[in-house]
Amino acid sequence: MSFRVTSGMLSRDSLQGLQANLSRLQRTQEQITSGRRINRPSDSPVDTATAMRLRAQQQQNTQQGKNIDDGLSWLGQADSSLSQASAMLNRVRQLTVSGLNATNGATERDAMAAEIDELRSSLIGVANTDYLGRPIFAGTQNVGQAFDAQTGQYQGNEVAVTRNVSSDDGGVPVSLTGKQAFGTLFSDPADPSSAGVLARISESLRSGDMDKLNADLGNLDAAAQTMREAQSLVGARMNRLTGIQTRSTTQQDSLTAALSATENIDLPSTIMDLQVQQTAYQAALGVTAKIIQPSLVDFLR
Amino acid sequence: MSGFSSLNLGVSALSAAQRALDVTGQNLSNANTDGYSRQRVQQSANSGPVVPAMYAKGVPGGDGVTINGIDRVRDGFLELRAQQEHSTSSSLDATQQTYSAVESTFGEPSPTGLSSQLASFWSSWDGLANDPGAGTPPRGLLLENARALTGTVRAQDDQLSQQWLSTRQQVDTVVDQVNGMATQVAKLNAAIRSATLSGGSANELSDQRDALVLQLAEATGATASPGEDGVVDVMLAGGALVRGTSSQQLMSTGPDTFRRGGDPVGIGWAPGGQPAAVGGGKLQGLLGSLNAILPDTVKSLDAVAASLAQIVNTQQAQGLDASGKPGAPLFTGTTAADLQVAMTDPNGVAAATGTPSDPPVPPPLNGGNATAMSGHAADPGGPDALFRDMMVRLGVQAQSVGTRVDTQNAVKNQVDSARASVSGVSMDEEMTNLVAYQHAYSAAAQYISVISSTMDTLINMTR
Repeated sequence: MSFRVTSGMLSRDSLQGLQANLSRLQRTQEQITSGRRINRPSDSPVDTATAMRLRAQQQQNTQQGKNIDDGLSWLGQADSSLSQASAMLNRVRQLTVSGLNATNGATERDAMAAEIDELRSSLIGVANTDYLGRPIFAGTQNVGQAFDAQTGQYQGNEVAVTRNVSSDDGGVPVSLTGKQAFGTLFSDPADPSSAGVLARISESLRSGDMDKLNADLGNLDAAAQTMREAQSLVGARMNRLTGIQTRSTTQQDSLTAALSATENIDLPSTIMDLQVQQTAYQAALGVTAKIIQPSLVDFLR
Repeated sequence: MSGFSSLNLGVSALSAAQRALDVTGQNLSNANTDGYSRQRVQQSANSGPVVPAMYAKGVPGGDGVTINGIDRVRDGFLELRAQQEHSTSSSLDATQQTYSAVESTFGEPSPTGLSSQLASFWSSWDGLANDPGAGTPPRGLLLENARALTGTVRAQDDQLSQQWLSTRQQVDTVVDQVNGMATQVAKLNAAIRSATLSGGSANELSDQRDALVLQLAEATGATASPGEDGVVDVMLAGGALVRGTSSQQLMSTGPDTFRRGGDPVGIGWAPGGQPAAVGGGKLQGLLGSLNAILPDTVKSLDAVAASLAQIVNTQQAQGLDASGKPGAPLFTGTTAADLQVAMTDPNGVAAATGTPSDPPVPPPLNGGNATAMSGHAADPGGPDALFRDMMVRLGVQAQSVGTRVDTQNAVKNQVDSARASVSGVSMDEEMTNLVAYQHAYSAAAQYISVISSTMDTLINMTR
């Protein structure tokens, strides 16, 4: 069938072509101005789901990053407290060893005992260190202080505080309990009547009971050993957390990259698209202007 | 043949050329009129008497030209196809509009959408686990996040209801337009019938009517079937919207406001509301939005809200609040419309795990329940997953409707081009005709002048 072509058809078709061109241009322009390839789910349903999942993961990752930071602060606090406590324990040991020395008289031993009492209360103060209002050596127990300032009784529990640092590792312990760190220094389950090794040492110094003092020197060394182990445990946990932190940062970077690859435009190629579409649009405009004008009217005289 | 009949022949040629010029003028003046079909003069050569008169000796010749009528150039099949394609196209357009409005309601994917708010809500539980004591900032923050979340869900539900409402009003408007157009078509039918019966030309009236019929098809998916005397019947599947010179009215049936599980909105015959089959057109698209797309979307959003409330409240009950009592429900409501934060006291948030004691004592600061809660972000059937699925479904449906709209537009344009090819006015053609008819007119005038001069010769000869 031979197709009649009318001027109305021509102008309608040209207009439709121009409209199609313009709507493509508008689409590309929307992408460039928003910087996003997906502006609504129908732009790409699958990528939308991916973007939503990635963004949720990113948020989770950010929160876990905060959890890691919080955990590192806890462990840092514990580390510095334990360093202070070790230094004090060294002094206690010095005093105890010189107390064992027979050349010391009762007066000197009394002075040593008084210093050890002072050191004991300082140590309890260190053991009651808190972080944001929470005693760091009390486990998860909801108490104001880990050790009673007078009696030295442990008030916490044996459950470590944990931080949710990654989906794979789950909860990582970020605290040591009072027992793990300070052992029998302030209270001794084997000898419930006494107020711990330090109190017993000062008592023996005052009474001059060298056998007992000698035995407690051994206990003191054991407690110092416990504290060193605690310190290395803190170090190990910090290492672990730092490792997780590095991994988490890397993961955050790759999540951001993946999200950007899913959601954002590839700028050079989109600009190229825009250029091509603009050229096509201008060409269409030019051609339309040429086609629409002339008809036989222009040539009949 | 007498000299006077030759003059008659010349006159018929003159008037035919004149008439053809008029029609060309009409075509040219309506070249851009919507719905106008080009017209053609149907003329035929007059033959002389076929049965010779008694005793006639001469050889009868032709006797000029007669105008038989002025035709509209139009292809009935193409018109029928146009009605069908336009109807499908406007149905799809209405559907696409609904989808794009729904998509913009949710505004996903974005860093501010519901999915991001859900993620911050779960994260704030992790924040609470770090600092689970009574009266701590994370507790208040968590409740604020929960309120923002429920506010967003309710606002989205509200927007969907609003959209339902405006679509519902659109149905009424379209039904009103359809009723007006149907009445108009019936009136035009009557005018066309009387014009046709009296032997006149009803081309312009028919064009007007056919344009209206096409609009009726776009609105309801109705199709036209031609009847006697140039009249057209407009049929919905099974019923006549216009039959001859009488028309029937439509009305919308069903609820005026959105209710969950409410009756579907439909179209019926006025006044009883007997269901009318709307087989396409804008109304079909609008009804689909009202009865399927919007309720389905609300239902999916309800499922997200219900799952959120159920999961959070269940986990709450397993933990201990700041005073050591088992956690009270954080959310109330089971739909997107009534999802609310029930808790007002931040200390009621159950952060700890442990066994409740009587009387309650402040629980350990283990934050176990809060950590467990934050883990629900990854639940396969949890609100996050449900919402994501919902967005994917919405995206796929909107995308496929978009593709169908593009395809359908191409088909519609192709049919419209074919119609324009048959019925459209071509300037070049009309100009050519103009010149041809002008020459015909000049020639006829010349012919009359020649006959006149021959008669002159004859008359003067006998002087």
